[in-house]
Amino acid sequence: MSGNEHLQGFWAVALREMSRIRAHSRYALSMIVLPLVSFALTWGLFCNQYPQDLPVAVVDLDHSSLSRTVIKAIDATSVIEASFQVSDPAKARDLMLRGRIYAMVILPHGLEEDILRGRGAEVIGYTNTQMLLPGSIISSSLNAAVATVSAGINFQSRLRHGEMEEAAMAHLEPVNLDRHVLFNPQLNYIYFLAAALCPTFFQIFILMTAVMAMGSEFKNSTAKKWLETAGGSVWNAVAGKLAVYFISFSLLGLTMLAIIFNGFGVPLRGSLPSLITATVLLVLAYLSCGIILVFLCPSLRMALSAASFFSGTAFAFVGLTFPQEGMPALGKAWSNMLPLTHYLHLFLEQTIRSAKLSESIPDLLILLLFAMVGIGLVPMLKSHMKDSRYWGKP
Amino acid sequence: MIRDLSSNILAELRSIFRDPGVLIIMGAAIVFYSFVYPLPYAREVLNQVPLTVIDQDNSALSRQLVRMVDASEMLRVEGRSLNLDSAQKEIGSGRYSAALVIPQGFEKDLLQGRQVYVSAYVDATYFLIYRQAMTGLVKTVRTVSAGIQIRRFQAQGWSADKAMVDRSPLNLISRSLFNPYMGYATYIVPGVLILILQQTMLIGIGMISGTRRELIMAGKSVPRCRGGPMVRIVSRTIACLSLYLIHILFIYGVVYRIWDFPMQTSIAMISLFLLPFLLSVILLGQVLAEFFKTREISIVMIVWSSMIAVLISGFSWPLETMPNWIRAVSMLLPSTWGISGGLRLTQMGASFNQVREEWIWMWGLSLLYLILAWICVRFAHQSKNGEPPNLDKPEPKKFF
Repeated sequence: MSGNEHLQGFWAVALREMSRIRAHSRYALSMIVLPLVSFALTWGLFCNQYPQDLPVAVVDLDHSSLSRTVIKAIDATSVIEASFQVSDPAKARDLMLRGRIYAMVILPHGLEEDILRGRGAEVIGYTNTQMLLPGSIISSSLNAAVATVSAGINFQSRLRHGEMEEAAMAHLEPVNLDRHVLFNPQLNYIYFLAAALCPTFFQIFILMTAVMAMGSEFKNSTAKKWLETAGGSVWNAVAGKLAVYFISFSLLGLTMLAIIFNGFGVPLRGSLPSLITATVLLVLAYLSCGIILVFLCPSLRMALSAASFFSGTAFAFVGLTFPQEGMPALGKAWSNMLPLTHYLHLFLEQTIRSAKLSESIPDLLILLLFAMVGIGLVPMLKSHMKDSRYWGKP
Repeated sequence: MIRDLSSNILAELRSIFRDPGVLIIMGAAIVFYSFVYPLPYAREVLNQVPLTVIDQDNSALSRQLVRMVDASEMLRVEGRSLNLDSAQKEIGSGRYSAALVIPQGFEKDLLQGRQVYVSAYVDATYFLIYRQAMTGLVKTVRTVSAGIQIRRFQAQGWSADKAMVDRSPLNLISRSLFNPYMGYATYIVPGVLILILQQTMLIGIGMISGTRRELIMAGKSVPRCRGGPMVRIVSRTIACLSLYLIHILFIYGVVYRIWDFPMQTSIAMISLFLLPFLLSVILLGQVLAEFFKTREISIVMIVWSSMIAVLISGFSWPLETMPNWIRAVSMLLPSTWGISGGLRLTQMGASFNQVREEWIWMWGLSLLYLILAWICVRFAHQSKNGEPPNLDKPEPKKFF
């Protein structure tokens, strides 16, 4: 076969694929509409980056000026607000069990008196940690609110007593912790999580579309036709078909990067070329996973179910919410089997951690390896295309 | 009519159990996901975050501080670094997640009653790693510091009690209600399990309808359905409901025990609560099946919507932070109510009265989707040829 014929087969399949895409609106839906909707939705969900004024119930049993100061301090934080003031703890607990509040604060009887007599007093805060992430944010703002009030009392009492110098010395905290926050000084997780959700949606659509595009040829018994269009070359058949998706998803990937950096405002501290390369390799890697699944699963339905498991659960395993270090060995192994894990690792390195390009090369190579596995399977797909036993399976 | 109904129910159950594709989704997938999804979170908490120490003082007191940091559950002293530069490089490469710097003169300054500063450098790329490392360091340093300060107060002739009060007059006693060990699996998985019920049901119903449609178009015989649209809708609902009540027993009776999740209510109570949840999901599935005519796109749509439903149902991130239009969408999903009430019943020990609002909402959604399903079935079949509705007719028009 001459080089020219090769190209002819490739183009014939690519043109055939484009008319297939035009004929079925499901492709437009999974290649353009749903991905863009997902990016927009993620943006809509997380544009208020930090929770504000989450409702908290206060049980004021003291009714003193001090207890009112504490309530004011709670209202003054941006995260929580004393939305409910109830007369007894049972009522606050009921509100929590009805899902109305995230935390309850009890200001016990005799609070002010204890402080005035120099005995020290305690405020009790119950946080609903069933909601772990909001719970820990609320608990630290509650802490901050009470600490502010406490510091005020301390200062006033010392002014009153006109402290002596050595006593003042003793009041200094002996060992202090100087906190340095590396890589994410504003401790802003929300926009990194939001940004990471975009590639997660992206990989679902690449994989599902690739499986749909190839698997439907077997399901509709058109696999032989597909191979004939390519002039009998399985390489042309697969390359011509997937080239269309490769180009379209690569463009979508670049759009996604533009949205992440311009829309979400994620800082780009590393190299943009490495991120673009990784995005293109991610598309290749998931197209390759599509080849693997279509090769392994004789029916389209099985292939799609497997694809939905592989891509739909990915976010739990990538280690962004719960880090890889904390996973059991099996979870860690599965996490490494997902191209997305390596892509997001590189993504964090090149955005938040401002790593050197050289530190991201292993991730790029792993993504390339995923692509190679699928390409290696292509010759074996030929027998499936010709064998009518693989056709017509639902 | 009763005879139509019972024969339809049997036909529906047959079409579930005879179709391996449907059986995988509505049976095997639930078992599979119940064990795979909790896997990454199986250890619940992240402990022993690796830390490096730069001890420039190398005194008895600095060594004591390092020992106490190592003893903290959250941290593990993994190595030593010569200087801050190399430590930061090693944090950058991911070997350590934090560094503790103890300056020269640490012990001497403390013994002379001065204030000293130790420095923590913590990698904040990942929320849980940062939280564990910083909390561990803050707690340890505070303990050491309080010990020293109380000794200083006592040296001034004050009692230990007065010394404590003087450190901080007003304190917050912070208690965790529910999920007291702050387990990540307990946070995420109980909600996701309810979502898995919803999503597998939606895919399954889409598949049953899709298969039926494809068989009819291919001219093959299908089990006959009798009666009008309402009888058909009700019979499919009863068939799916009976299958999923078994799944509820499986999830709350078996999966919860295996993963050791708190179960603060009885299985009867949670089944009663989830009854309108299942009904509304089944009816929603029948509405969606009229719109997404091929199986392929319905699977894509449902995988996609599972991600969306996790994000907007309010159990992972507060609903209060979301724009109103997203909250409105989330109110139409059975999962939002099922998860919110289900978690309060099983994890927090709410009484049925305290989740009644959600329960009523789900009955409302069931009614809404019942009406929509009936309209869809009637309208889709009458608009074409004016014949009485007949599901067995081929369906040439496809939306997607």
